[in-house]
Amino acid sequence: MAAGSSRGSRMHSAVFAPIGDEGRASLVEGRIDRAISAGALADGERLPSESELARSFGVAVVTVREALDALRKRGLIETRRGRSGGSFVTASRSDAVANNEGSLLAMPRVELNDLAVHYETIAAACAEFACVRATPDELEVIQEILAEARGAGREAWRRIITDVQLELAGLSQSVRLTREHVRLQAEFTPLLTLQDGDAEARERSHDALTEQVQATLDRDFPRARAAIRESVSGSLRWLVRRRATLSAGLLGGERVTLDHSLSAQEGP
Amino acid sequence: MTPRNDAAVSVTLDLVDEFFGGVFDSLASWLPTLEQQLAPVIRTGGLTGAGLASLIEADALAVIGDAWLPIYGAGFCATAEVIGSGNPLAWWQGPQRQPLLSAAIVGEQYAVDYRRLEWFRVPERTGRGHVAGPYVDYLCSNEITLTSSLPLFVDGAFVGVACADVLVSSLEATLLPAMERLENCATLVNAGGRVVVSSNPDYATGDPYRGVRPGDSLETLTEAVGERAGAVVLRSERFPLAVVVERP
Repeated sequence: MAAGSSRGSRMHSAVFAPIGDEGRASLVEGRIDRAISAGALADGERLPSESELARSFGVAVVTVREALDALRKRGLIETRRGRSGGSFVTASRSDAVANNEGSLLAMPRVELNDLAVHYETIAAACAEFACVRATPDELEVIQEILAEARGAGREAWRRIITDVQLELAGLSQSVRLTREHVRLQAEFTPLLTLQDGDAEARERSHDALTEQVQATLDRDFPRARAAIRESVSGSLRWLVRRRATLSAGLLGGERVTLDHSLSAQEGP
Repeated sequence: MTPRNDAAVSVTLDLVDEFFGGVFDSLASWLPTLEQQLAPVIRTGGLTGAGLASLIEADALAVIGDAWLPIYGAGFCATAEVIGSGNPLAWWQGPQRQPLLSAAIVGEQYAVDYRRLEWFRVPERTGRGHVAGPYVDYLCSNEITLTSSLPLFVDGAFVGVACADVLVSSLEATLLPAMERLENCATLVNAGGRVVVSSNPDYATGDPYRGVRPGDSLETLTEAVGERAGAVVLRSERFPLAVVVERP
């Protein structure tokens, strides 16, 4: 199996991790929705059966049914009857992009900034422990995966990058930090995928991750930390610009007038 | 240096050997059945992920159900070469012994590249059993875990590994009371010198043992520790594990 053909990524597994507790249809809905947005569940992919989902999430079958109903109404999945039937992901990439752009616009910039701070902090904490605890073997495997991913297509590339980020988090040997990283990654990745059409942005993320792995191999935490900052702040800058463009599109000419009046005020 | 047969010290290693001996006995007694079930399907090239899961489920659950061992999860991971379609990993885990869900998804391609995981890679390379970890297993248990695995061969070709997961917390419950009764601190380390369980307050699971870099061999560990007065390294003869005893 080439890493490039990955579908069952680490994120993919996290999607179906037990939620526990009863009556949490919206949690189930949110988990699957985010997975589709992040590309962990791809267009055309068949979801497990209702009973399998219920068992895996640790919720009742009616709860799963309720969540699937909601996803169906939103057009994210469709259900086919018959022998090869089941629920299938129907959101295309353009749907996913539109959905993620909607999330980006809906998220106040102050929250977006804070999400980046939280993500960066957890990633850095993981890196600090990984610099002490990870073995060269473990890191060399990651290096190989990363090198192979250079030529991967957009979706496959994102899945591999997400896998590598989680793998690096796990090398901290901390269950709590890793879980927190998985949780944040599920939240952040749908936004991060927005920049994946931009070859330069992908290159930047890829280079930063490569540098992070090398720094961890060299047990050089400050360098690993700097690579994480470079990667997160680069992505954040990209998202903030994209957000501004999107909101300018919404506001139409209004923004221009506003800018004009501002620059007029700044004049002599 | 304390002699190797020091009864009080070796009691920890005995417990370790007995514990993993039990895990591997359980896996080893499963292998012949697995071979019987899988070999005919593999020879015809008709093995799928779903087929694998239904063939082995009862026996995998029996491994988890072993009364005196705290086995958290068990299953079989086939090589990509012998699985026509579906997930090569058939896995059950937890108190409810639920199947790992990705095993139930009928997809075109599957794809965690299992070859890069230690519990798959090492038996594939050496042809022998291995204890992998401790590592954060966010793929299966979502806990800090040790995975014991045994390779399966059909007509002389490697076709996959039978595995059983033990959570470090369960192993700790078995070992730590005995370790804490010793006069000095005892630490169980893996073949890379990584701490598994320790009665030394300065060590946490996952730390490299003092004096070695992560991934260093047990020989390096023995040399490094041997220079310190009163320190002993007892290596397991059956498993890639060692117990280090020294003053904190």
